[in-house]
Amino acid sequence: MRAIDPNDLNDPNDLNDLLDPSIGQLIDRSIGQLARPAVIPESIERLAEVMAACAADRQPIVPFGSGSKLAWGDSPKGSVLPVGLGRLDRLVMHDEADLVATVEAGMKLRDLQAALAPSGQWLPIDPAFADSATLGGIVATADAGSLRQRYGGIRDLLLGISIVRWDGQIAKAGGRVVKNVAGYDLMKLFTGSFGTLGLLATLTVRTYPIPEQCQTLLLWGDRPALAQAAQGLRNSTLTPIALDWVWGNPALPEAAVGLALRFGSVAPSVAEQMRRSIALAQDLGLQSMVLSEPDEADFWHKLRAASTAPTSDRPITLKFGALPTAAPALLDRLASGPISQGQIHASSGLGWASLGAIEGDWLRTSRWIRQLRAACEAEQGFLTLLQVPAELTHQFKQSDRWGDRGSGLALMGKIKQQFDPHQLLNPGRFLV
Amino acid sequence: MVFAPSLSATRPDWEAIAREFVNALGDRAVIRRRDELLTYECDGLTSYRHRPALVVLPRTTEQVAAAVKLCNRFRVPFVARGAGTGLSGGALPIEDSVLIVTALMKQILKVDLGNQRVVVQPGVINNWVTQAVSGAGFYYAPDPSSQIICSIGGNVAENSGGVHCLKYGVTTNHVLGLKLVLPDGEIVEVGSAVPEMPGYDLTGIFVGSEGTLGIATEVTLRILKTADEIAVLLADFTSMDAAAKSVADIIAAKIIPGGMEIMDNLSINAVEDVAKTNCYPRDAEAILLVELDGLAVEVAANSDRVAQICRENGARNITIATDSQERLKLWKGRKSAFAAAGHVSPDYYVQDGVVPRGKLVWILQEIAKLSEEYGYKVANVFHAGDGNLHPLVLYDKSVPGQLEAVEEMGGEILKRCVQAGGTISGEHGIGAEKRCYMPDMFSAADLETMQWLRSAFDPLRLANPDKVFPTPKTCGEAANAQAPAQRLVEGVDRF
Ligand SMILES: Cc1cc2nc3c(=O)[nH]c(=O)nc-3n(C[C@H](O)[C@H](O)[C@H](O)COP(=O)(O)OP(=O)(O)OC[C@H]3O[C@@H](n4cnc5c(N)ncnc54)[C@H](O)[C@@H]3O)c2cc1C
Ligand SMILES: Cc1cc2nc3c(=O)[nH]c(=O)nc-3n(C[C@H](O)[C@H](O)[C@H](O)COP(=O)(O)OP(=O)(O)OC[C@H]3O[C@@H](n4cnc5c(N)ncnc54)[C@H](O)[C@@H]3O)c2cc1C
Repeated sequence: MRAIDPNDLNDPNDLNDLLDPSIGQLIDRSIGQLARPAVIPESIERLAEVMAACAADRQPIVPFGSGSKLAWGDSPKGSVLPVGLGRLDRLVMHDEADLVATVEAGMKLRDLQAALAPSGQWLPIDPAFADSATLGGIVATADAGSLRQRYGGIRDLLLGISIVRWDGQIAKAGGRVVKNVAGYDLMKLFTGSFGTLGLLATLTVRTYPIPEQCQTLLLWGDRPALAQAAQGLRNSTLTPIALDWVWGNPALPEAAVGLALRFGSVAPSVAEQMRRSIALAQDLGLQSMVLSEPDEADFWHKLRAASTAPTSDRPITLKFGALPTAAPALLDRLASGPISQGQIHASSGLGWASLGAIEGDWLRTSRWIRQLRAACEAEQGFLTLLQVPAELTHQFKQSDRWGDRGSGLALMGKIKQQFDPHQLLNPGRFLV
Repeated sequence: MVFAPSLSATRPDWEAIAREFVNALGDRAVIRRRDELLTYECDGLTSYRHRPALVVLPRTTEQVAAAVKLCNRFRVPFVARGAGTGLSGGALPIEDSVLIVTALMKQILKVDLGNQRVVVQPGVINNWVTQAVSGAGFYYAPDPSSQIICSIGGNVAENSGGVHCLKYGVTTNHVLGLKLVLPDGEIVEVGSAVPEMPGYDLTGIFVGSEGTLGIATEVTLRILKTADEIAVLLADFTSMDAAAKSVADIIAAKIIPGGMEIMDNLSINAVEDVAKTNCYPRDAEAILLVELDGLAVEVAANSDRVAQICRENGARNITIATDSQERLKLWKGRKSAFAAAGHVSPDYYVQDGVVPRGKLVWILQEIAKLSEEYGYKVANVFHAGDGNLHPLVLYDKSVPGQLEAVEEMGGEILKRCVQAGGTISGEHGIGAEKRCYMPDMFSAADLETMQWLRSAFDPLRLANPDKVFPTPKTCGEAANAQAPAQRLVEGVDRF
């Protein structure tokens, strides 16, 4: 196969056509090399050809969806060819009665939700950048959100995948049925693999009926009482579809620490659960506010954006986790740190935070982040710096951004070696 | 010699190897006596048997690691075994192998109700977990029908399901972390008590790997709060189509029950003969069991709607139970269906294919045709909500040729499942038995990609080799080649 010439395959402007200007800038800023032309194939077969050509040439590549979370994780090293999935954006199949859908990986979540909506179904996730993120990018970053309280993470929703391997061969795993134990679960392997093991080409997901009604309840007030409320709610028989600790959020007075509960079910059940939750809050002397549709959906959307999208005063994005019972102590720690906003999923203990520097002092900020990381690790968790401003790149070298990957790290390296023997896929990223 | 991994041309010196195991694990942890080894010749798939060279019963992670390291030193393969209830020959010993049995690793190491996590050793029996936490109002969701006898380690390896997995998922959705002994004897911890730890999801990869990626020695499980209210609805129908249509209509009505199960006339009668529940009408063509859980208001609203849907589809009688004793009674027949099949026929052969839920009626018609064509009765019990079939083909193994015939018929059923867009196994695993059907589902590139993963864990292929993945040999040859092994144990009772 002949060597690949990106100019031959695509107009150099294609990357810009596909990405909105803000994302183009991000790419310029965080990964200088990506300012070059990208290959954006129109079919999976073409993608496979591109990959085969890259393999023959030992040309490293970086896969991207719409390019939003390319700054999450380490920057690819050397001269890499951006390979875009954005034109693989079709809905391949939606079996309404069977509650499954197959999509090409470059399809945007927003477009999938729009396609599912007429049948009263959705893919129950609320990831970062929900308006522009592609499903491939969401799976590659395992980015689910608050709805995991009821529906689980991405890994729990993914029934099958097809991938294009480093050598250009197309392979698949899983299938389109909800129970399937034939062969290894490569869906789990690829979820959260940040494009380092192969390119996701198609994804088959479980869809769910959209709840008949949704309502959200915000609680705030005395901190120990809030902690009691969180534990009480988790130990109750109530079935919220989201239950998050939130802080720094403008929806709450004085951006206080609070709890956000979302109920979605048949109307009488939502009413009953709201009634019980409000009663519990009142017993504990907490303040409360009820949000109904469409405000309540808007609240969750903004919450997610606030804890993941960097701003000029909050340029750092963290993902962390700790045992759920550790959340109140972590929140105390966060309150005494730099300016921040975020959320902690109360049942899984996963959290997201967007933060700034302590009085403009990056060194102090990095020390503070390390203490937060130690606190998470002491509670069986982790802390990953998804996005760091240039000022912090010295304090946190690439291998230091993910956090401790435990005793499985060597094994992860062996897996990477098997799936990408020449280090062509997102080189330098995630696992070196 | 079908299951021989041919690692070396000469047979291992088992006397010498056994001495090393005794040195490392102690005398009582090593079994070598012929009569004691008999217990371990097969798992729940009793038509395949092979005597292991050596059986070891470790109690700790370190002992498992020591055993695996010895296997590495002598280059002999090992097979993990939990309770031996697997239905695909996953724990079937292979030629010249060490069987590492987790039966003595049965401690519940930690119960953390505040975080709704439980840590167990792999030999812990599935329903012990629920028993340990039910007093505080929690339960462990995956509930295979074998839950009173199968081990958590086996559940992890098979990614087992159960009758309540429609709403809450199967084993993989409830395992957060694992301590593993890798095929080279290294001990690693993967995952944690918190999901989405940085790095690849090694926990997710391990669950369902059927003992081919190492041995789980500690398992961190998620437990759930028992629902406010649980209702079981039993409806009986004069046609299977009507029962299957009800399932589709319930899902279309946006209701996701905890589980939906169907039994056909033959299984109803088998169960009534044996378990005598007096719940399932013997003249019904099909019964449908639907379990709904949640808040009382929600359960009440949904059971009304489900009952109405069943009635619209021609259900004759509808019973709804909310009392726990009553519920258990309605479930009892379903949970004893396999055992009942074993009583009405000398042998049964169970398949575990899955079809998209919209293809249930079609596949049942295909099974009926095959049943007629081959001349064997089939009792159908299945996880209708998941599209997961369990056709029980009734036969008599003592009649020469019958086993081969029902295996061939089972293969035809699986091929039709794949044709319909489904899979060859929903929960029992591929094991020794179904690997020859893997190429019906997966291309050479698919299988090669899976082997990449295996190579990262087990380059020497010591962990349960010759399982899951197809070898050039055909299924027919595999069945025939087992015949001598079966003859070895003539007169020995199967469980
Ligand atoms: C600073 C900034 C702020 C933003 N703010 C907002 C906002 O407020 N609201 C909003 O709606 N949007 C916002 N966006 C846009 C957002 O970036 C995108 O909408 C969205 O996140 C795109 O994600 P993606 O799916 O394209 O993943 P990408 O970012 O393209 O990729 C994520 C990771 O997955 C890998 N990957 C992607 N696809 C595949 C695949 N098919 N196979 C294998 N690996 C793959 C990549 O290599 C990468 O490692 C913002 C973007 C930036 C940069
Ligand atoms: C009557 C009956 C009903 C059943 N009903 C169901 C059902 O409803 N749903 C369902 O899913 N299954 C069902 N099964 C099948 C079986 O019970 C499950 O597959 C169960 O998980 C097996 O557990 P076990 O401890 O018996 O494992 P074993 O049979 O001992 O082993 C199964 C596999 O797991 C591996 N293994 C065991 N322990 C470990 C470990 N610690 N680490 C790594 N690998 C290990 C073995 O090598 C083997 O490949 C049923 C079986 C019977 C007999």
